[in-house]
Amino acid sequence: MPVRAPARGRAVPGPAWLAALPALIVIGLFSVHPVMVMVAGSLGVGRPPADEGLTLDHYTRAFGSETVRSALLDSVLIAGGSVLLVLLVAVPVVLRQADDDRHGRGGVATDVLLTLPIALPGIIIGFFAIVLTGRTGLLGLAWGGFSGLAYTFSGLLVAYMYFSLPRVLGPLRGAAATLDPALTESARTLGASRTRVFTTVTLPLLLPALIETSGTAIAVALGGYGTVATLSEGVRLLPLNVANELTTGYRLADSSALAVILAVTAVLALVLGRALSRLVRRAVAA
Amino acid sequence: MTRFVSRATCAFVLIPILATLVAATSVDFSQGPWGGGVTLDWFAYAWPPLAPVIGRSLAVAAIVVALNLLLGGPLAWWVARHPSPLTRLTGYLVNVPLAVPGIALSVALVGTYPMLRPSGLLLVMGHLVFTLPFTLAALTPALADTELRTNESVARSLGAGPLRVLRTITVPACLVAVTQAVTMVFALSFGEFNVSFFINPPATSTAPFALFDSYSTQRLESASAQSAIFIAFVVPVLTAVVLARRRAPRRTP
Amino acid sequence: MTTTVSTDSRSGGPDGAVRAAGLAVDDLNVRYGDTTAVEGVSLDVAPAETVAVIGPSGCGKSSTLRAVAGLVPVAGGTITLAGRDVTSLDPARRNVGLVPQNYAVFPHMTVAANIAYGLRARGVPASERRARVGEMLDLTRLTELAERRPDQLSGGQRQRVALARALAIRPDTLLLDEPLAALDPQLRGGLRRELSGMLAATECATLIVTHDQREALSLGSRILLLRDGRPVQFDTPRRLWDDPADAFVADFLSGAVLLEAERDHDHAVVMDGRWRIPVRELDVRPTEHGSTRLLLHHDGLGVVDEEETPDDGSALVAEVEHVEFTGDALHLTVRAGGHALGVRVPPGTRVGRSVALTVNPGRAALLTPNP
Repeated sequence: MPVRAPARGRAVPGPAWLAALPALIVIGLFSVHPVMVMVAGSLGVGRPPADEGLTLDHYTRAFGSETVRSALLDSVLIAGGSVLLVLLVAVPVVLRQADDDRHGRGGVATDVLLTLPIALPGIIIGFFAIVLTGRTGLLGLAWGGFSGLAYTFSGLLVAYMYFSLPRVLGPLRGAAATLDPALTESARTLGASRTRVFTTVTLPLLLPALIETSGTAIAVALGGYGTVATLSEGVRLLPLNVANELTTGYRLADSSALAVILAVTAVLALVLGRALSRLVRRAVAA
Repeated sequence: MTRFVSRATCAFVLIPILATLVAATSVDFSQGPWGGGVTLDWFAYAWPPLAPVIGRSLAVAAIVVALNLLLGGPLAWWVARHPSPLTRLTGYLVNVPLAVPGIALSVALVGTYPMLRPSGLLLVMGHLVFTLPFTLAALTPALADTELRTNESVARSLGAGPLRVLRTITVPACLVAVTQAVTMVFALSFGEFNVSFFINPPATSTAPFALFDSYSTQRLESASAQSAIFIAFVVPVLTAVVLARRRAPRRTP
Repeated sequence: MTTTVSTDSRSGGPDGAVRAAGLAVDDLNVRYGDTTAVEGVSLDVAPAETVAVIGPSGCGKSSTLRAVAGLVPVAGGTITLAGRDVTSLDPARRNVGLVPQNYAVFPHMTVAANIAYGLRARGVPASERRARVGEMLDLTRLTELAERRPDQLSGGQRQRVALARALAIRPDTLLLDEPLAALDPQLRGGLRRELSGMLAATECATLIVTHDQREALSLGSRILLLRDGRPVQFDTPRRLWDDPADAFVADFLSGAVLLEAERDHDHAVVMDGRWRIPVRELDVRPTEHGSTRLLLHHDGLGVVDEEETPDDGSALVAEVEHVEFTGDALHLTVRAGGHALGVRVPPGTRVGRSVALTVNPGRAALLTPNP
């Protein structure tokens, strides 16, 4: 006897997007709309106290200020520099991880350790810099040159490397996992040295992912506020200026203008990374 | 060579944490590591004021996780199962908080909804939009999996209703992805500082703000103890993230 | 099972010459941690010869090939290539041509650049390189695809690219890992013949690893059969077919059955006396492996009608377990005396629950050890 499905009144389901509606409303209200309000405010057409009529004053003032310009430059240098330095160590690390994963090796502890900084707020990373290379820092005992390094450009660079490390390792690990080990093995048997295999096979195949990951990581590092906030007595980065306009006198429109500049820089890094990556992928393939 | 770099990178991550522990257990860190002797007093001193703040942070993180599943789950389902130009646009919109720096988003939120700040609602919403991209990234590929979709249609052909299919097929298949999303969102919300900067309720703030405060007002030893306590709360969550990721089926794109 | 493969028992293979020019593997051991993947494997391949290594999955055949290529560390034994001991030599300096199972064609290079890769690594001058690449493109009939990218190629074309790339460096040995496994089964027959033609055109000592007995039988001039990392038999296809070392070899290579037998005057007695076959019906052949045995290929048995069943014990009554129609024949799987036997009969044959089987005169072999 055939087993029949229980006769069930087929409820007519609503359109599928209905399920997504609550999330879409939240995103619209608390992400898209505020960003638009912020952009409008920076142009002088926001709500009070940023409603003085359409103007570019806040931008001209921002770009006219020497401190803002140098902060923007330092932000770009720190974000870009730290990510590029991290790439140098990230490539060997993800190649090792991919190898370990394929052979079922690789401990959880290493994995946790290399992912951990992603869950640490930037302020703690800034604090780490103080503990190690602050004026009474641990490393300062070993060599005087480390004392106070936390508040210098290079100290900040290292702190942002800590910040960027998991954000580079994560996506890059996925890319390394898709590299077929038979490719490098074949190249080796064809007589290529390890260095040659790396430069002619591994690196070209990894390059698109390297570029895209860099773009994303630079964008995130540009917005990293906590680390520089903890180390604010040293080099100043743009996020500090954004916050200052609000904390010292609630100049919403000026703060918004700086926030928009910061956001545009970050989006630029993101888009540039994607576009370059696509370009390189095509160039490498050709 | 690669092994050496891996070890060195692990050391790079670990050393500051260990140094913080040394500072937190030193009587007087300015006299060097464990200067003036070893003590646990700084922990005893740091814990009582920190405990309620951590409790609040845990509560916020829990609410944010729940909202992520409640709103992000159906959203991921829609994006995974009905791909269209509309879902692609949605993908871009959801990722806005990843492109816009946290401090900028914070300015935008406080400029738009200053009245929602004191209640803490704005903080929760800020964390929600900031973490939704991670939920979507974890759940969408799992829900789009063709094998899962075949299994669902087999279950339906065997007479299971939509709810039973969801409960017995879909949710179990996505368990690893859900775990990954939940733990990641939890960890991110718990440590969130940038987006929160202008939208946290000033009187009843979260753990990162307590830390930030102690960094500028308290002794290094006490601040270290507070940081160590904070890290101790993050590590188990992150271990769960890593374990979930290791159990996830490898998808080769 | 302790069948040892001794050097002097193999047919063919001029030993001294091989050591000077071809590939020789002696008592190879490969271990991964605590597990032994390969133990005591020896083989030799003469120049222009093709040896196939075959066995069920996990038998150590791929590990053997990877050890020759230098991709896994060798725990014991020696590998000699063109007279050089390469056992612990870096893979880049062995001069082997490897064609991996998935072909591993470099996806970011054109067909021509793929083929030129090894030549570039060796610093071959551009003019010479171009000429050699041209030759290889000709040999593998890829000339028109020279500027194509790998993602625009079919599986068979990729295989040829990998082959041309490996041959371009004039390797001392060519190593093919499951050369046809990644291809559409329907195309394999044609591509196998094509591959065989290309291999014949090279002077290379070729080692092929496969799990497919048809591939091994048609491509290999000699075949090494492995089981659980150990060698079982190393011989020509003909001799493996006619005189298998044990029941595993017979079954794995041809699905044949090898039964212990006793000679009782002019009868061969099988299955504890349940089956007595007149020796005149059998092809009596000398064997190099142990005791007297009856070798039954699929064409060795036939079904007789019930009324014609001889009652002298020369027919075996067997239970039919499975009947499969293969177009030109019926393939029966029958069981008797604890053995499963395969029988091919004409498609019109009447088959009941049990059948009476007799040997087809001259088609079943009685393997008798030399006195």
